[in-house]
Amino acid sequence: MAAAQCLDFYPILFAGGTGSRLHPLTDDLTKALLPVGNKPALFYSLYMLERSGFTQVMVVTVPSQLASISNYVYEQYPLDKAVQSRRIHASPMVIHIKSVTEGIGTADALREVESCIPSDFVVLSADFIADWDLIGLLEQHRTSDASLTVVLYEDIPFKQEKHTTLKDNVSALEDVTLISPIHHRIFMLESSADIEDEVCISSHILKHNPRLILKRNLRDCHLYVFSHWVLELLRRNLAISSIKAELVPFLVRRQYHLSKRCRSWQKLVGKQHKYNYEKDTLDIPLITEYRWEKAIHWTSFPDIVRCYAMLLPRKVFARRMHTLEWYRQVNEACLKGWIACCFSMGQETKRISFDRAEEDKSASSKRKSSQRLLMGQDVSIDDQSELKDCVIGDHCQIGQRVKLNGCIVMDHVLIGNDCNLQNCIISSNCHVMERCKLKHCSTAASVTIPADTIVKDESFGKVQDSDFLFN
Amino acid sequence: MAAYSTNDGTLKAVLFADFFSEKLRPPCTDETFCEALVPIANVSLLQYQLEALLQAEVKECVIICREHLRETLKKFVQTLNFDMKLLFLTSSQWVVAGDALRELDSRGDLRPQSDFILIFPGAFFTVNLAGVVKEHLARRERSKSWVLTSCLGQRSISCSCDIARLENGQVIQYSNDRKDKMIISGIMTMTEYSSGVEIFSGLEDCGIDICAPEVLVEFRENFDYDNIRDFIRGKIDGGEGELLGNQIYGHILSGSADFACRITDMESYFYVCFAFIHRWSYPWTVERFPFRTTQYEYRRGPKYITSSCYLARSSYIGRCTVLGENTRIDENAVIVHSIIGDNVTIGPKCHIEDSVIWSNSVLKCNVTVVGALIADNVILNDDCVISEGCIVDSFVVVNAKTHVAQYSRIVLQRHPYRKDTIDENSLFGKMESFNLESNLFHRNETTTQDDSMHHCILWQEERRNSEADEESSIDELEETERKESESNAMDEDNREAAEVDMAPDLLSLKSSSSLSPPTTERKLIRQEIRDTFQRALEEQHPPETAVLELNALKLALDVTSSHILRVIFPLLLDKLDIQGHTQQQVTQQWILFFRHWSGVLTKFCAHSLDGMWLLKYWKEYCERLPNYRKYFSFLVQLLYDCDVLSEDCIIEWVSDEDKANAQSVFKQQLMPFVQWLQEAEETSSENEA
Repeated sequence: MAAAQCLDFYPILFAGGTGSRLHPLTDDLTKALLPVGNKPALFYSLYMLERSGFTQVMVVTVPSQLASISNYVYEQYPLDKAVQSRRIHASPMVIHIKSVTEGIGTADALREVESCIPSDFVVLSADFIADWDLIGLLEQHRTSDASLTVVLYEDIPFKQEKHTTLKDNVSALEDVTLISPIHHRIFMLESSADIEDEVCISSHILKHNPRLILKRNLRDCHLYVFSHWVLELLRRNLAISSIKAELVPFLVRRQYHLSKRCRSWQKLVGKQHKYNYEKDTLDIPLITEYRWEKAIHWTSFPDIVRCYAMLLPRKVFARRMHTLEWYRQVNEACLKGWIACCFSMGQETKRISFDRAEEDKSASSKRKSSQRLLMGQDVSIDDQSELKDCVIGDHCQIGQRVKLNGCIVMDHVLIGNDCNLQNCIISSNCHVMERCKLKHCSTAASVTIPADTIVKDESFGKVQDSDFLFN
Repeated sequence: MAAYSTNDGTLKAVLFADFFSEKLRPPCTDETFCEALVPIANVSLLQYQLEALLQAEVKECVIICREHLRETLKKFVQTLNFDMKLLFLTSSQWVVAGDALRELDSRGDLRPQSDFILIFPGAFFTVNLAGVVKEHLARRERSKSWVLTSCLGQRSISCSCDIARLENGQVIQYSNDRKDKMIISGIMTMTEYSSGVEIFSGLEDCGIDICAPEVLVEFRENFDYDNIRDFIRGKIDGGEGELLGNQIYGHILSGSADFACRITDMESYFYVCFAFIHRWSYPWTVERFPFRTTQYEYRRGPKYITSSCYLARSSYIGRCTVLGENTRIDENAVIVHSIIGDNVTIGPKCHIEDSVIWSNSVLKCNVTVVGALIADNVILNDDCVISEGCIVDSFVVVNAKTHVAQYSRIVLQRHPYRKDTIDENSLFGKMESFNLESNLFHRNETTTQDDSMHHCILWQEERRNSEADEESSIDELEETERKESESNAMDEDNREAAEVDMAPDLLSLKSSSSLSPPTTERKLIRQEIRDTFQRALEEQHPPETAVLELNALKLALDVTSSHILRVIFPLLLDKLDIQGHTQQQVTQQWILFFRHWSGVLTKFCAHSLDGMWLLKYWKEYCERLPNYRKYFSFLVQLLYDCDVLSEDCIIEWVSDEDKANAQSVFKQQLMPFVQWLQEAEETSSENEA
């Protein structure tokens, strides 16, 4: 395909996150494999890349997750219907799996796999769920001749009312962005936690940009396109260990930044040689000396480093599921059909489940048909249970008179009779006994919740003994 | 209009017709000639301003000017016959615009009771303010706290400013110097930020504000406010407590449709003139200005030529030209990109380019004027050359074959007051007698010479180079420094009016000019600093004490740290001696001495230019005293080690020196050190990256 040939970008997919903020779900399930609409999160990233026309991808993970990731990537992913239907027309995407040292930063990981990266590269993380084609991004990166393109989306407050406790959490994850409105060039991208109450804007930036917008409601998707020379920078600068926290801010800050040396050098020679704005270079023969091997000094020249942002259009759904709240949102988006590939992949199963639901409905007219449900295979639901806005995995058994509202239920879950669950996340192999009333709860895998539990805002951790622990 | 009739139904405007500055002088040196009357394409600025106010349906306008301008303005305004009530507020005691506003507030008869338009001196705009006023009033209706709407143009010409505003238009940051960073504080705490802050840089503060009457009250309470921008800055910098819930709206004018800027100096005056010709201020153009009496014919180019204009057959009129009424262009004259006023005679073979010539001037044969401003009633005799950036004031007569150097300003020492009754012939007669060669004049008013009317003096103006906008303050410093080194000391106020002869070959002799009284004052100051430091040196004060003493002196005498440095460094150098020692002993001694006193030097050598001066002075010192020569590079290194000189400073000085004199001994002596510096920097920047 035409698209496949023009993509000289190398995608690197980080699937080694521990997902500490998704506790307790990730107690024994890898973050990348958490189900979103009954598909592992990794599927969405892989499929997005494949659909965009990449012919190969590198999945970077850590040894402890290597087995489960490679199992999924090699065994299950190719069997997915959506993938198969695409592979009828296009050659399959080759997936390499690399494992790096456990517990290192993303930039360190990049440094380890650096030798395998032949060209400009795309970095994304497996917890990024979007229904989007990357072609536009890559085109923008090329046309703007950027060193770095970051993807941002505008955070529209979710309709669902948020807990006050969560709200604090969310604001801590905000990014403060300084962006020029026309070209979408960014001059600051820092998480609000790192910012003291003041924002300084240097005169260089003001001089080159007549208009800037400082925004607090743009969020970083952790999807970056880098120029190849950034690897050179990484190789030389060992202090950088994280992409988001160090490398990106470093590059963003380096724009228009002149090192001391360059400044004095400019003073010596630059007086006769004016800066050539059309070509974005200094019109000095000396510049030829500054080639790739001096990539770091390139970062010191005016306007050598250029960081742009791509703002996702509002209709595109994109979220990072790195907190429980966002994990819920992503699943809800699946239910609402905002993620198209989620449906296209399971067209058949979905219809079956809906047929079933309709059958049930005809059997017991109590159940309303308008609820959105996403059900896996082999789910048994008793009559008289009410399900609303739920994602239910494979092989689940749901008892009688059960009320589920906005729940995410993974595979092999048993829910006893007369349970009432609201906004809960129940991991695989859990057993919720009779007459439980849970609200905003989440569980680790294989947890048994005893009968008659009535709790709110709890998370049930992994069980060491037979009895459960409040976390 | 219903919206306006909140109080007494009339929209008022307050218009400043006085610049309260001397940037436009000369041509506006004359006491009776007002800056507000500078012609833009042969129509006064004031006329444009009033016209624009009339469009905004202003019924009453208070014109503020100093006492001496009142008659001139009154006379002018009477000729206009506008349908607008024009009132004058004058006083001879104002120093700054804020004084005038305070006075306005105290005058019950003139003070606006409702929201009013405030036009600042030199504002030239074609924006229809009616819409802006309407918006302002609508905002006021919603909340009384929107006390001020400030109009900001999108292209910066003279009054560049940077603002940050919230999405609702509230200005939260205003700065008009680009020296430092813009700091936006409170980003995490203020809830309004959630939608984002817009930052505009390089906006033109065009001096148009819609004010609520409350603003005047603020001026009454704060005596330090010089103008309305101080109000904005005071409010914003004061934070929430100062703001008292008041909000300032920043109205960004559309970049394409609205033309607005401020004339504050010659540069912006030229800009406005030519922008007007280029029709950027559409719908107002030269031929279509609504109240114009003169009929201009618009031709391609664009050229605007009146019907009463005489053009010789062989003359050439190039692009972007305006020729006023009764103007005569003789054979073989070339006029390109220029504005020629009314009743101007341009002789044969004249060449005029990029220039503005006001009315009633006479250019005789073969005169060249490039990039200059010629005021009214000027006579340029045969074969004159007026170079780029020159300004020739009214009634000046330039002799034949004079070559006026670049960026000079020529004014008459005593200006004949402009009178309509002036007899042209007698004037000519007097002017004829005026002989350039014999004139060396004082600006001082007390000198009485009989023919003082025709004495010309040359104004000195700092040269504008291409980087002037970035480093204007540095230029100024450099200028003062140059002045100081050349002629020992010259008072700053007197600087502009430095008296020199007009003959170019005598220009170089200006340093020999006599000392004016303020110089002695300066001398006293120097003496005091010198004494203080001398005492500190002799009595072996610790350096910290010396710094304290000098600082106290600095505050008391109101001088800058550069001034102090210029006194103390020579003293330190004098303390060094090299007699009767071996080289090693000398260096040891110097190291100890400078280590000891380096704290004082670093304290007062804050600016990079001070470093340059230091090097220059040391070089000259070495040139004077050959014994010291071999220590030149040593002391520079020593000062670098003591953090007095920065590496940038040394490198820059060397490059400057290189240009001036490539064979300089000192430069060569310093070269190894500079190379070492550059290499060291290279490695350090590598580490840093």
